This record gives sequence, C-alpha cells and structure tokens, in this order.
Amino acid sequence: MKKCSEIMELIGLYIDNELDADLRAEFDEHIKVCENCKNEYTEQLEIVKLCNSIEEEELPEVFKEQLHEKLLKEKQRKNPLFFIKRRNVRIISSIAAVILIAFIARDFIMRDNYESGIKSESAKSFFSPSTKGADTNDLSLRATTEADNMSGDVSIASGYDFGNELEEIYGALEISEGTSEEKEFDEGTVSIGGIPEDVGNDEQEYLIRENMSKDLRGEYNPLMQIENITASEQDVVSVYMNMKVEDIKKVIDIANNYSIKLDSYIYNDAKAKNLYENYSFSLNVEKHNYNLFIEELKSLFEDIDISKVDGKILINLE
Amino acid sequence: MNEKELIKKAKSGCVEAFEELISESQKKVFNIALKMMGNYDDANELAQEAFIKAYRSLHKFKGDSLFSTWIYRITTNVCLDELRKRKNKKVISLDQSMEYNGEEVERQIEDEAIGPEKLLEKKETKKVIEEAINSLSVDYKTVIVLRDIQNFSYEQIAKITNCPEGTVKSRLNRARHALKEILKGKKELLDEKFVK
Repeated sequence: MKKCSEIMELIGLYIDNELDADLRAEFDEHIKVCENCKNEYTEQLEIVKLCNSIEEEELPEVFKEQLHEKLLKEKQRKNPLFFIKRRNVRIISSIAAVILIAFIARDFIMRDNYESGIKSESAKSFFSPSTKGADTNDLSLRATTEADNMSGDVSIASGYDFGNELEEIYGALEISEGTSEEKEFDEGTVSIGGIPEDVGNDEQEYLIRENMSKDLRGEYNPLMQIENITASEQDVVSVYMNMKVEDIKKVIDIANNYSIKLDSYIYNDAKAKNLYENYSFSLNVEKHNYNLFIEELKSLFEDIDISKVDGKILINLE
Repeated sequence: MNEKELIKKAKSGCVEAFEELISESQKKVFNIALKMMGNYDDANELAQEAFIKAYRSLHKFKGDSLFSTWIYRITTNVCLDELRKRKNKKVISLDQSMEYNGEEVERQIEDEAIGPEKLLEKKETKKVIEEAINSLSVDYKTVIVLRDIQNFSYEQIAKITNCPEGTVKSRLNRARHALKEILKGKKELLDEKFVK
C-alpha cells in the first residue's frame, strides 16, 4: 500500500492517463479512502481542465508581414557581402582601380606587340566613352566589368524602410562627392537591380546596389557604363527620370514589367535640394518596349513631362 | 514540396520556403510565447525572434527531431531567456521558502476541499488563470503551458525542453500543485469579487 506522499506524486500521471493498469487501480483504491489525496486530485484536475479550456489566440494581423520583413533583412545579413561596410567602399574602390590599371596596362602592352601604331588611339578612345570604335568599346566594357567585380556589391534589403536605404545611398554618395568632372552625375552610381529569383516578385522588396567605379584618371565616372552600353547596343534607349522618392517603387514595378533591370542606375540629382524628396535615375529601355513603357507611366502619373536634353530623353514625373 | 525539400531550400536562404515550413507552427509558437510572457506585445516580438533565430540557425537542424519540435524548443528558450533577463519578476513556486514573522519557513499547503475554480465567474476564469500561470517560476510555467495549454505529450515536452521525461513528469506534478496554491492565494480577493 502506497503512502499519501507517493500517491500525490502520481496525481499528474493519473490525470494524464500515463499510469499503467496496476498503479491506476491502486490510485483509485487510495482516493476512495483518503479524503486528503482525493481533494488534491480533484483540485488539480480542475486546474488542468481550466488550462485546457483556454483557447488559442489568433496571430496578430501584422505578424506575418513583420516577420517577412525581418526574414528578408536576415537574409541580407547572411550574405557575406553585407559586411562590406560603407567605409570600406573607398578602400575597395582604390584596390579595384589599381587592378584595373594593371589589367588595362597589360592589354595595352599586348596591343603594342601586335598592333603597332594603334596604341595611342586606343587609349584616347577609352577615355572618351562616346567614341564608337569597336575595339575601344570592347575594351572599355571589359574594364568596367572588371571594376564592378572588384569593387563588390553591397546589397541591402529595403522592403519596409526605404528611408534607411536612402541614408545608405546618401552616405555612399558622399564618398565620391566633388571628385568628378561631371557636373550633372558626379557622385558615383547607385543602382536598383532586379529582384532576385529566389526572393520572388514581392513588391515590398528592392535590391539596392552600390556601385563605385573609377576610370583611369582616378576619378569617379558613373556615366562610363551607361554610355558604353548605349554606344554598343543601338536598340537601347537611354532614359533619365526624375521623380519623388515615394514614386520610385511604382516606377520600378513598371520597369520590371518590361524586364528593365540590372542596368537601371539611380543617380543623385545634384540639383535637388533635398535628397529625401527628389531622385533622378537612368534606365536603359529596349526600343521595342519604349512606347509601352511610356504609356504605362502616363497611365499612372498625371503630370508626366517628356523632353530631350543633350540628345537624352528626360522624363519628369514630379 | 515536402518538409525535407523545404528545409533544404530554406537552408540555402529561401525565405518563402522557410515561411511555408513554419506556416503550421506560427500560431502555436505565438500562443506559447503569449502564455509564457503574459502579454500580447512581448509574445509578438519573441515569437518573431524565435523564428528569426530558427532561420539563422537552420544549418544546425539535423533532423533529429521534428522540425516543429525544434521550433518550439527555440521558442521556449527565447521566452525563458527573456524572462530570466527581466528583473523584479514575481516567482512563486511550491519549493520556495517564504518569510513569516521574520523567520524563514517552508510554504505550507493549505488544505481546502473547494477548488478555486468554483469561486470564479466563467468570464474571469481565463484572466485569473493566466495571471496565476504568469506568476509561476519559469520552469513550472513552461511545463504548464506546454502540457495543459498546448497539449504536448510528455515525450514532446521532454524534447522541447531538453529534459528527461521523468523530470517533465515530476515537474509538471509540482507545477500543477503550485498553480493551485497560487489560485488559492487569490482566494480572498476572489471571494469578495465573485462569491455570493
């Protein structure tokens, strides 16, 4: 026969039906004659029933949305390139420039061996992106690619707080401020790339990339990339756009519809007094998509102003 | 896509795969956190923290337990860590000593035939019992929440809390006893309020 203290230890298992038949029978016998243990059992049983009766609460409405944003941020954090801090961009860019020079120099030496007399012309062409010589374009495009690879991309998820990303962009822009001869687009490049495949087409999400490139003179020349691409691919229309920050998302959504990605560069509008209100950026639109793209913009924005400045199409959505 | 494939995809960083993996357990995780923390805001924050931790340490999940069990373990750990961090928390357990007339005495269990629940209006029952659970020690609270509210088996609780099953059984027994005592401690107040 078990003592009360031993029976008390079995109450929980009895309630949860975890006792074997013998012990259960012994327990039943005990509480028939022991008022104290019986009371303890009935009280605990009531407590358990009370707890069981508590219904589950529904998830807060914002739960999934908030979690999604946090997960996206975490995903970016997992990316080792995330740890390339803004302050390191200058160092990385310098290293990229050195390697770029070595790369170009090697190319020049090789050319020297096989194409005597062309060397000076080639070098001159490289410094002038608008030159359309096939060799020159080829060379400068390769150089640009090399610089991009070496400088690295810093990717930041911006799904829920575009303001923070703008601060990041602003910070990056400051690095190159005043270093270029270009008056209009003199502050490095910041691009909005396409949405990564494995993330899907979530409209909350952008990938902001910071791209810093240097030309041989050691000056930032963001235009170099665009100019070269448009020079070699005549079926592409280079469009500069100016808009309010809150409209960027809409424009990017439309751009994505026409597969306008990768080469969509966002530039700081040097004339804009407030970086947080006004942005300009450049898109390369395939010619056959151009009209559709413009029509769609017109359907969304009432005050759309299209003009041609210095041979470039300028769309103002303000 | 089955769970194994989803885990593989989620391990490679795919957020959508991870979200599909946790779709079944989200509500339970939130409710565990809610009962552990005792308020909505903390539950919201800590349940999300649990999922972020799970996402971050997915590479550590080797499939030794069910994925959901692993998530629930992370959830209870996140809540326990937070509860332990917080100062001035009320802890009452059956084993705890108390002061009486300047002397330290063992807490005595009052013997009463009438269960405390009988003193409560149904409307208020939930609130009172949640408050009582909230004032339990963290270990007791965990087993009560997992067993009596979330209805996990002893085996599952052992895996979630990383304790031997025997420990879970004895701890649960003591926790229920302690919970009953806390409710009795509220008896005077409840008498005034509900007993006619």
